[in-house]
Amino acid sequence: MNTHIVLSAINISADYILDSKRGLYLNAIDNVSIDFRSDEVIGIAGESGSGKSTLVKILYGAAFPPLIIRKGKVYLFTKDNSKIDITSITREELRKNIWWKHISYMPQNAMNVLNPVKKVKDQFIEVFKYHDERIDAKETITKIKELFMRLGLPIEALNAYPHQLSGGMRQRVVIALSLLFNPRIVIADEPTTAVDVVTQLGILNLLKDWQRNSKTTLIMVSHDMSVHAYMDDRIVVMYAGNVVEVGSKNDIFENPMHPYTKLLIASLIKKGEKKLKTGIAGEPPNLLNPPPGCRFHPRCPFAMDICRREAPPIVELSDGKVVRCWLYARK
Amino acid sequence: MQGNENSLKVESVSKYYGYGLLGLKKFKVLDKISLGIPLKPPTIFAIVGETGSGKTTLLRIILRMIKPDEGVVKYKGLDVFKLPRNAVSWYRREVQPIFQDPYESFNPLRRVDSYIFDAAKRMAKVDKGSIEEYVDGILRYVGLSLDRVHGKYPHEFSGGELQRIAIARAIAARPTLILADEPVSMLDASLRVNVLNLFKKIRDDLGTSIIYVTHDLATAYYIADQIAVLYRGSLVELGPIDKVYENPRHPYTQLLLTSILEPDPKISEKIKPLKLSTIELKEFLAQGCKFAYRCPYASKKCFEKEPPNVTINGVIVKCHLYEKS
Repeated sequence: MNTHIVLSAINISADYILDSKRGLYLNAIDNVSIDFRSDEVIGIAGESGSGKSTLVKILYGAAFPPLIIRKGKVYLFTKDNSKIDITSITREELRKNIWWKHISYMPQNAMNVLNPVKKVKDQFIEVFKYHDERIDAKETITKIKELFMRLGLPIEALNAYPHQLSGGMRQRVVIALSLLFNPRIVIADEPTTAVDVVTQLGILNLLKDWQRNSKTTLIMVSHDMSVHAYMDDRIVVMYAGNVVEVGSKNDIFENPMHPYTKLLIASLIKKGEKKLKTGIAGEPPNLLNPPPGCRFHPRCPFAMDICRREAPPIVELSDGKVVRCWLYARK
Repeated sequence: MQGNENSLKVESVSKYYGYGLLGLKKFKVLDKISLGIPLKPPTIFAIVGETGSGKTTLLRIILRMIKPDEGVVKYKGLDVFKLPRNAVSWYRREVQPIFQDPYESFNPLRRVDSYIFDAAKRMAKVDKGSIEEYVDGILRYVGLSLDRVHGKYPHEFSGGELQRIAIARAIAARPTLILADEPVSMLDASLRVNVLNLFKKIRDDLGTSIIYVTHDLATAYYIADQIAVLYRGSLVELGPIDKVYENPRHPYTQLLLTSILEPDPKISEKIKPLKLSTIELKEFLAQGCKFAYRCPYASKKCFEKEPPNVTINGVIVKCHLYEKS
């Protein structure tokens, strides 16, 4: 395996400011470190409010108030082996040199991000202009057509307004836009939540084929574990702002370590199952006032005394597996 | 006031919506739907379909919120849209809805416990003296309690808790039929199973039938007894869920079953890629079978003539493939 690290997040903690006068902060991300490698699909899984979207915003360098980064760095490794700290450069630099060329981001609800009063073609031309790509109109059109062919989109869609396209088509146009400059890292935030099962499968295949052909890094954010089962090489499981477990797809599904992952996997309904399953009792914690110690301890069946007092250590196991739990500390 | 039959019958119901300039052109959202839901023994009946398949429109017609353009809905033998005045409130009590987004189904400025008190007082006619006990009992049944809910507003609850309160409100009226429109699609995976188990419990303990509308076949199989598959406004397959699941006959049901993703790491080897469709309105307006544009088995007949309803082994399939020539 000839892969290298392309993006590295180190000890990130981030808060949302709710009321700075009264000192109200919502701790959305707590001490997260992840390395992203080239040529892999890495999934970020977790329930709503677990900090998935906040984390990818920080990775993308789009952490603007009320979101503030308390601690930690995000390093981007470029082709010529230089190291750029995404958290400390200006927005102008990000826009000109980093975004779309190195990292691109498909936001949640991607089907609603197109300008409703502009034709699809003009939206593409605008993107070229925005990034100071000096090529004439004819060349632009041929380039877009090439991309559309690769993604299996009909060329007629170029002359349509967004409302004339179906949700799945708009989603594919946004995917085409984000792949325009051949970025090395693509972040897809819930790319298929608002589309049908049949369309969902089509879009996922599109992303997967593109990733396999261009050997890039695809970061998939989804709450849906079946999407992860289909797409990912590696999975990062988040709970209440913490990364609780990182492992390969097979490890996470067949041999989960963290109690939360164990219960989550056990609660999933597979096709053709009627056997009674149990969910996880209780509710996710309020991050304004997170429980002391491990954030999962109020719902955890294995909770010990120490879990209620101290935050669990990040334990690195063999094969790149990482689990954040007291059960695996000190052998 | 009650009829003899113990079922809800939807008999060849159609509904048209207008589109284009001034909505003068019409297309069929529902095309001659017929199905029956038994109330005794209590059944969980799943209605499965993609967005735009007409499942919510069908639910609204059963709820008496919109009138069908053709056909009748009969509840216990009575035509729902021709009820005598005093029977309307009776029907409104017997049939209770649960909606998709719990945050949208409660008024944000009203305390949530007042909904359950209202349902208990006005619909179930519980005495003033025992009403608190009754409401507490119902909240405990769904895994909450009056102490936890009392005096609170919707924003103080999580989505899972609020959905359980919506279920409590529905069962407080002592209904015989609950209509649940995508009740778990907004909930997190770990809480989803709890709500589905609650539906099973309601069927078994309270003897209430449930119509479970969803796009998720895996959860439908998990709880339902019967299934109806809708595609672009027409009912393509109807029958006991085990039979439909083990041997899907309609090409659309087959496609749906093979394209569901599962939380199983080996899934990527099992599923084969497919082509995406680019037509949508065209399918609604199609003369013949609405699935013909995407169907791998489509013949010339499928584009021209509407397929017949064929009954095979207790399952109704709307497809030319199974027609006896």
